[in-house]
Amino acid sequence: MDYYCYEVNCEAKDTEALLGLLSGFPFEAFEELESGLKAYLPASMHNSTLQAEVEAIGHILPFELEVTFVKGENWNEVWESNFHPVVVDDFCAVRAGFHPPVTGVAYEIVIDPKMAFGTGHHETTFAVMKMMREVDFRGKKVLDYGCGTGILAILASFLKAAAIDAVDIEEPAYENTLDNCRINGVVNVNAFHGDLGAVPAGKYDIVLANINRNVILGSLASLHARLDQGGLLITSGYLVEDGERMADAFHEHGFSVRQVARNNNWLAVECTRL
Amino acid sequence: MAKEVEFLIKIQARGGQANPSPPIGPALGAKGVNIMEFCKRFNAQTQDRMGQLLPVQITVYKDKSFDFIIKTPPAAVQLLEAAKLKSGSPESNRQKVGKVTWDQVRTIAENKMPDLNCFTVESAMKMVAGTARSMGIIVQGGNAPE
Repeated sequence: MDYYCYEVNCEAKDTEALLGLLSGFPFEAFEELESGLKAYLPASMHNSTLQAEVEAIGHILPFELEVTFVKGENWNEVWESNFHPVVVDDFCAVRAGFHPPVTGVAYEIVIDPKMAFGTGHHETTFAVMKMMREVDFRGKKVLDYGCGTGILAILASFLKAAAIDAVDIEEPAYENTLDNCRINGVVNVNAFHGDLGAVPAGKYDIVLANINRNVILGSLASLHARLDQGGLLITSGYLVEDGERMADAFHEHGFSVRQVARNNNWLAVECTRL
Repeated sequence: MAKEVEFLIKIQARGGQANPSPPIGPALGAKGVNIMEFCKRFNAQTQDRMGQLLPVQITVYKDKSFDFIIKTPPAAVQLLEAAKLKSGSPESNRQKVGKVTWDQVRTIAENKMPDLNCFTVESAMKMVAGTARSMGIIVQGGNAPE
């Protein structure tokens, strides 16, 4: 995604006040400089009216403003070009195309991440992959909700799931899932861009959701409706401190917790849809 | 042995909404840090503060690992909320239209004490009041510090 950088230079003592005055504008994030700030605005929101309103703050607090266009690019490219393969016991390995093949594992997934989440390095992805090992995917209909790189959807396909829908609200993730399915020769993953509503109506045997606490909490009713009775919901992306709240929410929404895995400060939970 | 620090960056990001774009993307990405991991951790830790502007100090080490500290929202942002002001409107950008009481300043000062170089609440209040004045917010009424 492209951005506009509003670089404001002011006296160092005024930086905090300027941040406050700019915080009401739709800037996504700020970087603190020695005497000023860089404020970043999605390019789609930049217009002359908004810029004039920012400039008008100069009537309260004087500053110099320079606005520059920042072309979107893969900022994670350095890490992506140099990461190490991940091996989940003798079950599964995740590597990039530039790595040599990993031997001694049942399944090997090649991921070319391109600013999408899911390479197996993170505790949550690793824990979900371990849980997937114990689940019978054969002939099942699966949803990968918040698919990132598509890593879990691809693993479900390797585990002989019949069909997998994969959805992500981030466009780079949607595009990356398509790419990674191609790289791995997977043809039974249908990828969608958007929230849960972007996925055509239908029921699933298994739902995988490695996202975050709030999105999962907000989706439990919909996921319950989309799962067949006795279906499995495997979630992750939240911290140990959120465990009790998640357990209560699973119970309230008609799920029974079967298994909880902890990996450092992160949780993965497997539930049955009652 | 303590890890060798490569660099330190101070940003302000919105709770639960960090993504691999500027300033996080270029700053961390150029150093070979996995930005996606930072976003996952930051967003998980700030699920209760969705959309709030939060100061984050990120330390990147030579081995490409990182730590970060999330601080309380900036006093200036808290002042804006206390004054029920929404910056961005032409009126608020040109005139001193905001007002807060000394009691509100005290609440903000107490909230920000862990992040300020102040020994007493009273000195923190004076710093917060100074920020308010710079923003065009008048501090009036309530119990002023001596």
